Amino acid sequence: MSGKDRIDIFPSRMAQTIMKARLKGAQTGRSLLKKKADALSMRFRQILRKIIETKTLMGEVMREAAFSLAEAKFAAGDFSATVIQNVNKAQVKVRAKKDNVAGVTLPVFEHYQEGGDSYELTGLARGGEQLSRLKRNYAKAVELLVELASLQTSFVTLDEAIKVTNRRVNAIEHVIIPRIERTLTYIITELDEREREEFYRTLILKGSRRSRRRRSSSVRGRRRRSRSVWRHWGRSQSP
Amino acid sequence: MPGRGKLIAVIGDEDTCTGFLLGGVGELNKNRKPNFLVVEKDTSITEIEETFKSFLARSDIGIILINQFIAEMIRHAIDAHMESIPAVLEIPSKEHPYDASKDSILRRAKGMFSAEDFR
Repeated sequence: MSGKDRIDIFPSRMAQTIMKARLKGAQTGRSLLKKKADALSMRFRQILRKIIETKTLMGEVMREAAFSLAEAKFAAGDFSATVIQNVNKAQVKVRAKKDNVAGVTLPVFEHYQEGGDSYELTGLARGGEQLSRLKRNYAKAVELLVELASLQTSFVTLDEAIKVTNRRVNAIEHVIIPRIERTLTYIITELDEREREEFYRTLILKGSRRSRRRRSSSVRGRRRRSRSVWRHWGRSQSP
Repeated sequence: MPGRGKLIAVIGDEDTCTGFLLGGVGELNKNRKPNFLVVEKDTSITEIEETFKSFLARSDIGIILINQFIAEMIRHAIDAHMESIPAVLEIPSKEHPYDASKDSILRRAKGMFSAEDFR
């Protein structure tokens, strides 16, 4: 694949040690991230199953609550208008708490009561019992829905976190580690090449030194050479 | 953030809203704006979408309950909402029982869905 270069660094022994250490670090990082992604996926699947269960349960609870609403309407007449007009303060509120799973903070909803019942006087005329049962049913439905909402938010947050972690794992595995390995191979080949060059150079030097020595020893025996020949020989030796 | 409570908003038909108001979730804030919307047959889709967006923008709403058939009408607005808070929960109404295949949250996990079956 094009674009996967090696890191530009001067090939030396120290660079090789540095690259080796970096490779080790990248591999450890990748395995750690993989473990984190696995833990998150496991939790994700658990939550998904729980959501499906709770949703089906919620469908039933809502149906029952709607049924009791119809009963109450039958008994007490149409009180919807009065209920809608009499809104002022909410009794049931939710708090967002933070839960931590494998390093990911998930928001969790916790519901709590506050203040009294604003609709205590509704249904005093008729249908009081149905109305109070209705209120209880809907309060139960609200509790269940709050739990469902917590599950849903954790679900969404976990989904994002898993995607990010997997992206990082893939990046390390397919981009960073090959790049470092390439750099390492490059450094090693360069160092080997340099060694070979030096070795070859020393060979040549040794060879020329030997031939020089041989020639000089053979000349030592023949003092009959004229001075001009000496001078010429000396000049031919200069680089 | 712990501490100050958040409200539960409701967007639904008359019966749904009445029921939940009796459950105690209704409130009018400082500007007399309610945290619920009663959707009737003649409520326009734009109005529903405006209210939904305004609920999302309010910082004191933690959960938005919405009837599934209404959610169908503003499906695109719901799908565009990616944050985890406020949580958008689809609830069935009297005429339309719960249909899990239309739920926007469950559709996001479509990949894993075939493994889990609805019972």
